[in-house]
Formats: sequence, C-alpha cells, structure tokens
Amino acid sequence: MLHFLRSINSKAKKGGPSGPRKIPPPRKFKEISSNLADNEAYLRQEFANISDIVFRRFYAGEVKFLAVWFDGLINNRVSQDIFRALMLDIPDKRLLEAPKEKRADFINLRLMPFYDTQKAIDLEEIKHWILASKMVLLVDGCPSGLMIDAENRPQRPISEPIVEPTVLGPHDGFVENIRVNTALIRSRLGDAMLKSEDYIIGRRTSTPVTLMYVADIANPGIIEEARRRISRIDIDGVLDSSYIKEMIQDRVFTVFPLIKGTERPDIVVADLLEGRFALVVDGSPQVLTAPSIFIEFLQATDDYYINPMVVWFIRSLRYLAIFIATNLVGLYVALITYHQEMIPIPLVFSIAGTREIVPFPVFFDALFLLIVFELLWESSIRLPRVVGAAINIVGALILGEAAVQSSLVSPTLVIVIAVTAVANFALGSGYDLALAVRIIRLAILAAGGILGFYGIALVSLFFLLHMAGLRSFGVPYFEPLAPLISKEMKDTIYRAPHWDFNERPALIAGKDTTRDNTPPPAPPANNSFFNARSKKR
Amino acid sequence: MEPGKISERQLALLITTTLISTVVFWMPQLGARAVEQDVWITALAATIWGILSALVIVALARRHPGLTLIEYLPLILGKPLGKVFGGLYVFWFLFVGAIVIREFAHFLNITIMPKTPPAFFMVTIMALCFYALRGGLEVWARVNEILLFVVVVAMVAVIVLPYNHMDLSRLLPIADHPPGLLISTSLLSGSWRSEVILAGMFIPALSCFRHISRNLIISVVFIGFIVAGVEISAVAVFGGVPTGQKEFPFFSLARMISLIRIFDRLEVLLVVALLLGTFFKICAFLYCSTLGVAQVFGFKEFQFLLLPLSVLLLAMSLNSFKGVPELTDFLSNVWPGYGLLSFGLVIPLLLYLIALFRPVRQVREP
Repeated sequence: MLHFLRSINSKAKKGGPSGPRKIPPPRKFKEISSNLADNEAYLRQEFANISDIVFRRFYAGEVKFLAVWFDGLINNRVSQDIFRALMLDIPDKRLLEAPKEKRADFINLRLMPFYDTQKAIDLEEIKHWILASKMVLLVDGCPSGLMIDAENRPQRPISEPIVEPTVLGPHDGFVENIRVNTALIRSRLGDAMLKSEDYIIGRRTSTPVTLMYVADIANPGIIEEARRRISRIDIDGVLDSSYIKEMIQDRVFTVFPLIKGTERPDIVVADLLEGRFALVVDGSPQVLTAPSIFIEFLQATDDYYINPMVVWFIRSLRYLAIFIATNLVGLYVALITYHQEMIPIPLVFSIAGTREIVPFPVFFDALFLLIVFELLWESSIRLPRVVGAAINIVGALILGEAAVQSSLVSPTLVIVIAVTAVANFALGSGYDLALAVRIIRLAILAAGGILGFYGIALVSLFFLLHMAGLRSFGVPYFEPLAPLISKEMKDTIYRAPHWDFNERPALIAGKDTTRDNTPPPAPPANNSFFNARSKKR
Repeated sequence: MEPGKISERQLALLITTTLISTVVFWMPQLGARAVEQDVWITALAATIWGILSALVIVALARRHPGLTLIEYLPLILGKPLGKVFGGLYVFWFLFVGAIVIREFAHFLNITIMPKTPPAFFMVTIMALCFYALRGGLEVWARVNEILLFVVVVAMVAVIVLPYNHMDLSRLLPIADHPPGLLISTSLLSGSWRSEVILAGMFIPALSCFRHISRNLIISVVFIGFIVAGVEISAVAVFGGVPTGQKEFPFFSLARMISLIRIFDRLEVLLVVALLLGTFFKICAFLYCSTLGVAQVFGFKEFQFLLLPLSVLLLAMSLNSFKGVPELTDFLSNVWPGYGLLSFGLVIPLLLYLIALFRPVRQVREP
C-alpha cells in the first residue's frame, strides 16, 4: 500500500531500518466530525470548482453515508459492489446496534469485501486518499472514515518493451503504473530481503516513487546515499523517472548516462541481484537502476539468454559499433582532408573518382549529411504515423539518390554516414548511450575536420579521461576497464557461462558477494548412466 | 597531500609509459651515431642503470614512508640544502617535461602535420594534460592502465611487422666497439631509463607497498627489451650507419611495413602510440613538478598550482630550444650528464648513502 502522507522532505534516518518507515503525521490536521454534513461541507469546500469529483450520499438502513471519489479513477464494478454490500445486503440491525463511533470499524471488518482498506481519523488524510485515486467512505455519527482501494486508473496493458525489444528472453515490459511495475519485479524476485521503500515526490503531483534493493546484497552505504539524494528532491512535479535521474546523478555536465533506465523487469531483477538498487517511479515505464557502469550500456538482455560462445562475437560487434558510430565520420574526413597518403593506393583512386565532381570540402559534406541523418532520426520519432511513408520517400530517394546524382555529396560519404547510422543503433540496450554518441560524433567530426588524426586522438583522449573520472553513486563509471579489475572481466567483451559467474561485482555489491556455487557441468566421462540403461534393455 | 590512491600495478604501468614513450623515438638514431650496429647492446646495458635507479628510489622511499622525494630531501640534507635540492629537482621535472613537449611537437611536425606550427601542438596537448590532472591522479592513472596496452601493441607491431625487409646479418659484427664507448652510450640510453625516479613522487600515493621494487624493475627491463627490439629491427632493416642518419628510424621502420596491400601505411599506429605515451609522460612530469613546488614551499594544497605551472611548462618548452639541431645536440651531449649522472642516479644514490648515516626518523602525520 502506498502511504501518501509521508511529508515530502522527511529526513532519512541514519542506518535506518530496512523496511518502509513510519509515516509522519500530515502537517495540517483536521479531525473528522461526527456530523456527516460538516465533513461534506469541508470536503466540498476543499474540492471547490472541481467538476469530476463525485459526492454520493446514501442510506444503509437508517445510517447516512457519504462516498467520495474522482470519477474515472475508480473501478465502477467494484464501487457498485460497495453500494450493494451496504445498501442491499446489509444486516441493518447489527450496524445500528454497534456504537456510533465504531461504525467505520464495523463496516471495515465485517462488510467490506475488499482486500485493501484503511481507517482514517483526519479529514486531511481523507483528502489525500481521494486525491490518490481511492474511494473514501464517511459514516454519519462516526468520527472516522474509511479508505477503500478500488482504484482503477486508466492504464496500458503490459506489452513488449518498446525501446528494448529482444529475440530471446522474457517479453513483458514495464507500464506506467507503479504497482504493476513493482509487482513485475516482486514476482520475479521472491525474497524477503527484497526491500521496498516508498517516497512521495512532487509537491503538486505527489508522485509515488519506490526504492527497491536486496538488503543483504546491496552496499548499505550506497542505499543510504540513494535515500539522501532522493529526500533532497523538492520539485513541483515528476512526470517521468528521468526527472529523478537528473536530480540524483553524480555529475551534471556529462553526455554519458550515469543511471540506467530500463523497460525490462528481467534487467531490473538482474541488477538488484548484483547489488544495485532500483527506483520505480509512478507514471514512467522506465525503471532506474544504479550504480551503473559504462559497459552496461553496451550489453543487451539477450547476451544472458544466448549461448556464451556466441556472445563474445556479438559483444565485439557492439564495441566495433560504438567505435564506428563515434569515429568513422571523423576518421573519413581526416583521411580525405589531411592524410591522403595513408589511404591504400587502390582505394585512393575510387574515392578520388567519386569526390572529383563534389564542389564542397569533405568536412562540410560530412556535416551536411550527418545533420540530415540527425534530422531524419528526429523527425521519425515525432512523425505522425500517416505521413511516415512520405518521409521515407524523401529520406531514401531525395537525400540518398538525388544528393549523389546532383554531386552534392560523394557516394562514399553516403556509405560512411549510412554505416555510422546503422552502428548507432547496434549499441545494445542503451538508447541513452545512443544519444551520447551523437554528441561525441559531432565533437570528433569537428576535431577531425580541423586537426586531422591528431584532433581525433585529442578528443578521444578527452572523452576517455572524462569517462574515467565519472562515478555513479561512488562506483567508478569505467569500472572493470579503468580501474582495471581483472576479476570482473567475466562480463565485458565475453560473457562467462552462468555457472562461472561466481562473484557479484565487487565494487557494487556490498555484502553477500557469492553469486553462484554451481560446479561446471561435468557429465561422467564414459556416460555410464546412459550405458547402464542400454544394458538393461 | 595527494588525496587519491593508486595501486602498485598502476604506478608500474605509469612509469612504463613515462619511460618508454620518448626513448624509442630518439635512442635508435642517437645511439647508432655512436656505436652503429651495436646500439641494441647499449639499450640492454642501460637496463642496469635503470634497475639501480629504481632500487635506490624505492630504498629511499622505504626509509621515509609516506614522504615524497621532495619531502625527505630536507630530512636527509638538512633544511636549507634540502630545499635547494628540492628546488633543483622541481626544475628538473619542469625542464624534462618541457623537453618532452618539445619533442612531441617536433615529431608530429615531421610525421603527420608538417605545416602546423609546433606551438599549436604544445598548447593543445598541454590543455588536455591540465584537464587530466585536474581530474586527479587516480583518473589519469586509470586511463593510462588501459591505453598503455595500445601503446605497447602498436610498438611491438612496428618492431615485428617489417620482418620481410630484415636482414639479421646487418647486426654483425656484434660488440665491435670499445667497451668504453658502449658504456658511455648506455649512459645516454640509461638517462631516459633513470626517469624511473619519478616514482619517488608517486610512492606515497600507493594503496599498498609490497612489490613496488619488483614492479619497477620489471617495467625497466621490459622497456629495455622494447628499445632493444626497436634498435635491432631498425639496424636489421636499414643497417647500422643508415640508422644513425635517419631522423626517426622507428618511424621509418613503420613506413617499411607493407602487408597484403592494405596494411601498408601503419605509421599512424606509431603516431597514436607516441601521442598517448607522450601525453601521459607530460602528465607525470607536470604532476611531479606541481606536487614538488607545493612541497618545497610547504603549501597544504597543490591543485591551485596546476594552472600556473602548466603555463610555465608551456613557456619553457616554447623557449628552451631554438630548433631541432639544438634539441638533438642537447639530447646526445648534455642529457646523460643531466639525467643519469646527476638527478637520475648519482644524486639519489648519494642521498641514500647519506641517509644511511642518519637515524631513521618516524615522521608523518597520518
């Protein structure tokens, strides 16, 4: 259940308990009056000028009731059940016989066939429940009210992740509802040590955020730091997990993603098991996991589901892809502009042949085509479906064919840009990284155009140094490479088979560092078990 | 004073990059001018000087745990003299750093970008060094750890790949020069190797202190093999005397590579190796001089000195030599005396001898 009453800036206790902590009382406090009319007046005044709220007065026997909810956020069938339980099936006598002050308790315990209800004695609390899309029931003569969780917010069904599709492995993805998302995680990781802590972020949106971690794996220092950073947030609204991401990351001015967002529950569970924590934000299908390291963004979920003897190849392709996506255009421009002597002789003639009729320096050509590519990318995201075909034709025909035929650009350059574009999306699971690569590519193109190879080397070195200096929740971002930790190279360019993943990442996991004790598969040498069967026969 | 911690392996790799990155470009021709085909023997012999330097600096550091070279100089020589020598060492760091920058710009000018003014290379590489050092020792030591691999692979590739042009009989006759000449040439080669005393500035930043002398010796020996490899390869391809006449035999070697028509311009590999290696070498010298200045004057911090010293280093490298001949002359005639025979080996050795007669003092705030 979500405790919506947590004050926004509650300080995280030092070394606090691992479970959800007690809710501090709301700052304002208004007792529920025994007189139903007073309560209704108060609520009507609080919710003045709101047209989509429903105040439903009714009688159960001789007792007056008031139900309040926001239209559309409550499951209609469920609310009808509530009314049926009270208005039609009610054992009048017992309700009337119960002391007036206990009526709410009586209804709660005997008449409400719902699994999630809660008693409240504070009108402010009642107000919060209503705003949190619950139904609230007030009884005449009773100074307490009842929250009934009949929530049915409009939501999308669970579907295949949109940003991170895979071939193998599970196909469910997170949705916008935080409860569904935590359930997807919880159902995969049935361990009492998987703790979850609720936070309410956003002064106006009151967005529920859940911090999840496995208490006996995660590094308590990192979790405490996460709590501290989350409770620092003071913003009016949180519309997506990326809001939180920006406000809790270690360094602001960097193009690299320091916190991973993913749509896939299996990735989140894998990260939790490595000692990371997850932040589930209501309204966002992207669940954040941190601390993140750079090579995570070059890994895809499939890597863990396909044959490890193949993974090394696919991963090398990805490493090649990031090199191509960042460097190829810059290298091409530098080669053509400054270092023609380094092009192999047969290639020189073919490139020179295509470049002969192009009027502009190759740098401007490359910049032009690159910007066209970025424009296509951008427009294909914003594109209304119906005009998609038009853009495709423009992109393929006009830009590809016509630009070459009109000798604005050389065909070789078109190939270079095309390969770059393809490589840009072969980076594994990291769309965030694909965005970073765009910026790096521009920087390298500029450096290559101005300074040749020297410039490219300088800029690459700059980015390497920058990356090596980054940290995500204290963990060095470029971790198993710099600092070089040979023990953790099992999940870099090749992935060890699952029986060989003995240790969790040492810099991330705090405590229980043994992941796996499975001995390597070792069938008996002479297949005796098999022979025994055939002998019997 | 240094907040970061590096591992012993990181230090050894850092020292390797520092020592390897300029000597391979200068020693083949400078050595071959003196001893022709026997130049590779001097590279191996220089390893002895390098090992001596490494042993002395580690022994000094063991005697003064937690202190840098500049910090324990006053403890050994007494305050006034110690500070003077500290100042001399800082100047040595700065001056050698300036030479390295100069060599770097000169090499780039000759190899890939002949028309660009050298000052441009100096300013850009210096800016990047400044950025790296501002990020902290830990960061650039880490990056060095992965990039040294690239440097070594490129160098080994250039050593091995011209195999089809090699004629090992050009190495004969072996040791056909008077031992005195061989030894004096090995002093030149050893001068680069004696830059291992830079470790004296880094040792207090180590997270543990167990195998450091072993690691440093391995790196010195390894460099000996690489330099000897370059020289053997160059002599085998070009012959002894022509090696001495070339401007950069190592670079010429890279130009000789031609494999299956595609890999026939591999000198770019070497430029990358040079750029990465020299970058870290400049970083190391800039770091040492910054830390050194702060410790000579007793400052609590050293980060604020980074910008002024970067500018100073740049100015020194722009103004210290009029041209390439002067640089070459300096390297072949003055550098042995300025490197190995004074700051690199002899002064540390004397310091150690003096320190032996001093009582071991337990100093160091935690």
